[in-house]
Amino acid sequence: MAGDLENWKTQIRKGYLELCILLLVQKHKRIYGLDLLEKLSAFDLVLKEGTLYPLLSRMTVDKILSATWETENVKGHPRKYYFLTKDGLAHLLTMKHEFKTMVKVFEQLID
Amino acid sequence: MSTDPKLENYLATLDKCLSGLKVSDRADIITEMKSHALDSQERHPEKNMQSILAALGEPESVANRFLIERGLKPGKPARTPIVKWLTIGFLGTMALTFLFSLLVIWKFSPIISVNDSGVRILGGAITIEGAEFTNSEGASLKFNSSEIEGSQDIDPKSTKMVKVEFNSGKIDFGYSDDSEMSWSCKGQGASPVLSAAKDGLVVLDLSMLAMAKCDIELPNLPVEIKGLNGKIHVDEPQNALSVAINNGVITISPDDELQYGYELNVSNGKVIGDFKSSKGPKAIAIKARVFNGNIERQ
Repeated sequence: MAGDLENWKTQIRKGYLELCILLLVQKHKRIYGLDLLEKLSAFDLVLKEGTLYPLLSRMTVDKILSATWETENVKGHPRKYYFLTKDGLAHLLTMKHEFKTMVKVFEQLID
Repeated sequence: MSTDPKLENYLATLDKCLSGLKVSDRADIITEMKSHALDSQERHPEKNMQSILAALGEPESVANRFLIERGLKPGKPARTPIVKWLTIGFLGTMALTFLFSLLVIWKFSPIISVNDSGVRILGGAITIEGAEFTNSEGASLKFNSSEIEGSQDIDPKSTKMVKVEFNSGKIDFGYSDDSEMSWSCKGQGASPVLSAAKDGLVVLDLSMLAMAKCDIELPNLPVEIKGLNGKIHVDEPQNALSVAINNGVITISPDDELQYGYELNVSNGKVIGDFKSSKGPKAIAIKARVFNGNIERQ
């Protein structure tokens, strides 16, 4: 049964995390992977590095996100900054709307 | 600036596992992972590269995640060299065992064969020719065989059965017209012993005679012949007969004027020739048994 619960958690977290990632990207305008990981963990949204980067990569391929390489100073190494595309913004609005509806239903059901 | 060799190795493996992607995509991913690792080290100087890479996960599984997220088939987990070598070693051993078994079967078959000149055991590794031992290299050992003859009159009234026992050899049996039993043997060892046992049993014991080559005339009485290895021939059985040997050949020449009821049994070998069995009341019971070898009609 514990295994089933873990599976359920993974399933429900997957979509939720995607939403949270896009919200954080929107909030910070542009953000790089490691920074995003730390922001997420600040909200107790623990995500493995090996999971985040493939997710970001896929959202880039899907043109929800776009990325640029930037080097902050001469000594530093380049970082890949992600930002929302126009399509991504519309995508996020729909997601937010969907999720709000879900939360509303949930609150009604647990009352 | 030189990068940590552990990081380089990690990135190399990751790159290899991402071979399904376009080169530019791959380069992008590798650069981002490198940037992440270096950033992490900068931010947490107390962590070493190994723990940073461990947090990232095995390069194979990270690569698979990238592929799965793009709807591509994940790569097979890389086989470690030890598994590869174990597989090769195992298959090689199996093949060698198989070939060796084939060689043994080919070289040493048939296990035993008997013809007029003698007995061949293990495809000729041991050859017994009368009283002569020869191996496949041609070395031979000849016994000083002595000729032993004897005869005795058997009382048909008090005797119910004649038994002949031997270890190895070539023995021809015939039947005498009267109640006399006689034997003429060549071989090495003690002379045959004829003794009267209880209950009307007469026993001719040839077991002390190695490589016996005998001609035996039997009286017209039920006969039981028992031996280990060799060739037995029985000419025109006149009375109930039971012959059993472990390895070799039993040949029987039936008397055309008599009827027989055969019970022939061969474990590894064949019954050769047409033994016509009769169920009539006059039929003489002939029992023959060979484990390895043949029973033949002559």
